[in-house]
Amino acid sequence: MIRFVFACGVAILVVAACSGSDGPTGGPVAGAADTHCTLPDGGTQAQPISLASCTPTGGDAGVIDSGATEFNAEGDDDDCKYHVRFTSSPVRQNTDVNFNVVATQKAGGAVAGGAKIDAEVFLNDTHPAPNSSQHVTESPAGTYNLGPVRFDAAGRWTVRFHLHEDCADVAPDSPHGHIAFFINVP
Amino acid sequence: MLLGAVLLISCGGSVADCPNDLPAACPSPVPSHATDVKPIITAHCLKCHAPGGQESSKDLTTYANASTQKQAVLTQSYSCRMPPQGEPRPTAGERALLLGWLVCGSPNN
Repeated sequence: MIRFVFACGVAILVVAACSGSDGPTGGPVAGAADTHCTLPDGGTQAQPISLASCTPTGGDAGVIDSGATEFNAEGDDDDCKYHVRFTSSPVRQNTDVNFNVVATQKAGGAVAGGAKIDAEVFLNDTHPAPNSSQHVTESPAGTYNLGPVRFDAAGRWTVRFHLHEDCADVAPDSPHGHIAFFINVP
Repeated sequence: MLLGAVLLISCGGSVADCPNDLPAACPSPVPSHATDVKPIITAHCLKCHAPGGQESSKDLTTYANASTQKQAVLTQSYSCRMPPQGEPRPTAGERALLLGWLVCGSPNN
């Protein structure tokens, strides 16, 4: 009897240690580094921004272009206005995930403060992330803590960070920008 | 409690109190773009998302345009980012039709 109880105890300990209550974690999908702002001569394309060009209205007649979704955990926005890198808390299904996002201006390298970064999160065209009262704080300038984000299914998700979403994307130097990354959720 | 009520009123319609009411599957009957969805888009989106509007680059006046942008329309409407604060919100019934149509893959029906 004592041996049976001991064996059961060991089994329970082994199962607990091996399965772990937290399970496997995901995160950014590794792939080719973003080079779309690198010029053929090795230089860097950098679009300056001006907060003075933030207009709430504009009536632009451009086309929708969100840029390609990027691999890894840093890259440049589609218009080469910003460089963005991020880390996150452990990525698991149905767990609140918070993102730490650091944004700098491509032209000059200054921090991109006051960008009110927002995250648009979806698995595919018919599956957005659940609403989770997402909010953002900025401290220090240009560093944003954003969340919670909740991934409710396994797969390759897209997290698109929007900067200065309240500014119309009209003038070339409008601070409006966005950059999307793949996030793997196991 | 009073403070909570004041905050609730002042924050009404914000992202913070957006419901998790996405249909788990395509509803039956499938909402019609022509008779169900287009009037909702006309009433709540075209003030800005039309030629000459603030967001004319994201024109939603035609089925083709709305379908092309279905991912953005779904994430923006479901998360209550759109319509923006200060604009009239879709009713619960309108919201159910729009989200249902989008979850069905935005058919041209």
